[in-house]
Amino acid sequence: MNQEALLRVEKLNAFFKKEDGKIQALKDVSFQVNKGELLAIVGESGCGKSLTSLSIMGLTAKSCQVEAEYIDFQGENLLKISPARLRQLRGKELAMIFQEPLTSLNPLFTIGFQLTETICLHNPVNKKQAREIAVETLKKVEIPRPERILSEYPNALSGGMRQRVMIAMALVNKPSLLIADEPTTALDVTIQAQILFLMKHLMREYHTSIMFITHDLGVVAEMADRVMVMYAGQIVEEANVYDLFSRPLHPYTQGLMNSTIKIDQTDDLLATIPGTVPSLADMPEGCRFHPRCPLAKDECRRICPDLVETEPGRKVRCLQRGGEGSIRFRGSECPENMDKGGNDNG
Amino acid sequence: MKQKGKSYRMPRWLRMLWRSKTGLLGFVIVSIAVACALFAPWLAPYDPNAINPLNMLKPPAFMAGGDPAFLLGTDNLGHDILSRLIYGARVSMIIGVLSVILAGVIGTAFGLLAGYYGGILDSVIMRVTDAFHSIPRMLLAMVAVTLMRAGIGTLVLVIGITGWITYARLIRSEVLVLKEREFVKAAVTIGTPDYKIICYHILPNVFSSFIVVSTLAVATSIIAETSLSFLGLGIQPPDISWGGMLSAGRNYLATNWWVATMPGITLTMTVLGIMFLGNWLRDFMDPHNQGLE
Amino acid sequence: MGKYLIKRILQMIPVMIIITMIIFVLLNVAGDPTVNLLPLDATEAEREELRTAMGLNRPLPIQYLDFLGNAVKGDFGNSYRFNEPALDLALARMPMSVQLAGAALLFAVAMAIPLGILSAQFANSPFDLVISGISVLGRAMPSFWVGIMLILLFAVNFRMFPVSGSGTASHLVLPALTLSIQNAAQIIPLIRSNMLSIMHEDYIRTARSKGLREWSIICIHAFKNALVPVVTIIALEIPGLIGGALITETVFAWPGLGQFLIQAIGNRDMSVVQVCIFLIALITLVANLIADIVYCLIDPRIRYE
Repeated sequence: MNQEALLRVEKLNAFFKKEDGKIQALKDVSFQVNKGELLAIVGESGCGKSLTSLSIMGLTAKSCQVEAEYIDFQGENLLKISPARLRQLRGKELAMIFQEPLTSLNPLFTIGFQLTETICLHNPVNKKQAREIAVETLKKVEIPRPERILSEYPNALSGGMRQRVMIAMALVNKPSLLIADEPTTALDVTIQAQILFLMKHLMREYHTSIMFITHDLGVVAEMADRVMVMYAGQIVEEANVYDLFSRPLHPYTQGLMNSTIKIDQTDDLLATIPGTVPSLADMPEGCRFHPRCPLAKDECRRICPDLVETEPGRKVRCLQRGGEGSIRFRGSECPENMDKGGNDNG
Repeated sequence: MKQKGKSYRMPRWLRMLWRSKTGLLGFVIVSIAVACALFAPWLAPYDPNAINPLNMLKPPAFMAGGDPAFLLGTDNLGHDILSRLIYGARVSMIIGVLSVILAGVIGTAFGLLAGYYGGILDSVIMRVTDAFHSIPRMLLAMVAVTLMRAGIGTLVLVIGITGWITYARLIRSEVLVLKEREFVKAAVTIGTPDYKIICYHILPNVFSSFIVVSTLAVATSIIAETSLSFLGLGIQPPDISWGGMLSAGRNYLATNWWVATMPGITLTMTVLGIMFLGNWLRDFMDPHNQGLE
Repeated sequence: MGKYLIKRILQMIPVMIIITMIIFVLLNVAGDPTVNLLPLDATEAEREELRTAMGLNRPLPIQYLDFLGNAVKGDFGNSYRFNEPALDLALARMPMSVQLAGAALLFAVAMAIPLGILSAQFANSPFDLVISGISVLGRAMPSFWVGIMLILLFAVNFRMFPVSGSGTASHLVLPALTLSIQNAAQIIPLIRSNMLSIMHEDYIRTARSKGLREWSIICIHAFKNALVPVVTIIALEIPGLIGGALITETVFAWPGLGQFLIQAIGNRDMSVVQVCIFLIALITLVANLIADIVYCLIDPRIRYE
């Protein structure tokens, strides 16, 4: 890793408090986002990719407990800084776009209000200057007649337009890191392509790094520099986009690749991954993927694999694919649910 | 409920009632009020209308100067307040329940007509409910009561008739939803006559909201009755109403506070009990809660 | 929005007509007005003469149209007791009632909004439990009983406010408070539950992601959304507010429309009663219209329907 890191996350764990104990939703998630890169996080719904992004922003629900050794953003540990400092960073250095453009904008305030609010909060400008910046940014996200849109309410806009507004709102203060949580999932395919292109374009213009969360491998191939695959609250594979698509290592990644439609596909059947994602409350012992894994051996049922660097810039969590070092005996079972007493706060 | 275990199992409603503190409290209060209404002659220690000049304005037994014979004290005519409260429950319960039945029948009929047949009938009925809604219910009841002979029957009629719009609107909206459900559409498709659809498919399905609204409506009706009696327009002596007792006790507020306060507390407790029971019923009848044990 | 308002105003016309019908029916149920107008020993022939003179022998529909025509002109006849136009008498009492109801509404909203927001923010805390308890109690107590309690407490015991009457601002406090308690008790739980659900909305998360302070999120983004159903419930509660005012005015001897009306009912002064019902219904309709306009102003979604 010779590139400069913008965000470094080390051993991120998240728990949901339930009446009877707590359920672990993220387990030892460690990664980094480098300056100027687009890191994609891929996985099925419920694998913890959204929770990872919300944990970084500090926007998790009250019932969720987040722990990590550190979440280092530009030299500051986001878990240790004061709430006031975190608020300064949010919207200014750290911005986020959400999945549902229809519900992510407050229906009772004009676009102009919601945009200028962010601008005035983080910049020493008056209302008029803020309005000019807002118009400027709306132009950047290719919204026609931006002056008129400012006085419109979200309901007057289509989903694609609202997502453009969301992007404008996220980028208006030129953040260093933009977290995009499935920003195009709710949109039509044609609109999706436009939005993706726009994000890629603006990323270069604003020198922003993007953490892009999606379940769509097509989008990943299109957008990402580096990819992180998540399964059941863990990172299972990490690689640059070319390596991942040409040579997926983890059986889950391979399964994901096989279950996307290819242009040259001849047979009618689309390959699927058998079984379903295990529930967080009832994780299988050993490798979390073994019940669905075509390569599963007896050891996979007992041993929790580690995320191991197999070659520079490439990590995988699989006993069958890792090097020698990956097969380490860590006790006959992995305590999943109640192993953390909340004593290690990084 | 269906499973017959060897050990006795409480019915589901009782178990759920036991678990809800406010529901249980409401149930207990309402049971006491109903018992007072039914068995007033046996429960009341004295004749509620017995005038006793020797025992005028006695404070409650727990206060200095109180007489243990008159638990809640006596009023300006020497009536035993506790006995009057017990008899007053009778009037409140009768009027509360009967007027709600009347309002329910009228309102349900119009709500069914409006919701099921729609069209002009619906518009007309809805405009009528709008009109009734814009005249405060108390106002209408006050005028109507003065025009007729005051008495329990008149109050039932007046409070019942002025309460129908709640039901009409509720039933109409429920019917509109039910009409779009598959089982009703299926029944229409196979040519089931309207009255059968209404009786077998619609009425049973609006029953639970009907019961919940009715419970709360009893509380409103009791408040309406006591308000009218308070104004001197409702129950006339020798019949006893909490509202009338309150009104009589007003003049003694500064010196003998209990005369007005005792009926006030009784009334508040009763209404509170009915509201608690109604809220519990709403949770109990909510289909989303059926599985919760 | 213009279209919507025009539609709403047009809808008011049939409602007004039905209201006049209700009033007319009440008038006819009231029985023979000549009983009050003539001395008790008047002969049947004299009564008949007066009935003909008043047009009471004509068919009911004609009488109704006549009544409607006069009502449109603002002519509801004279009060037989005061021998003055009933409308003028009623209008003279209106300002006092409007003052009372307005103050009550203001009190209610001023109490309910902060208490509702705080209850939601500190949900299930002791504060929340106390407020919930008080609002349940507030809904269970009839307004005349609340009035009596307030008199007992603040006028008789603490001597802070006058027992009854009008004239100064301190006369207004207890009756307005009496009226407002029930309203506040309805609004508080509504704001509380709205706020609780709204705080989980996506746009609140967006607002947080922008770096806004929690309190400005609550007071700006969440509050405006919580207000929408509150406007509706206030509109729905207006007849109840006026109905409560009738009784409250009696309890506090407040010289408004309500007290005047109750006296008129006692005297069977039916033209006054009619005019009062008509005015109150009109106020309710207009208040509902205003609530709808406010609703439109708060929530732009209505305008795009």
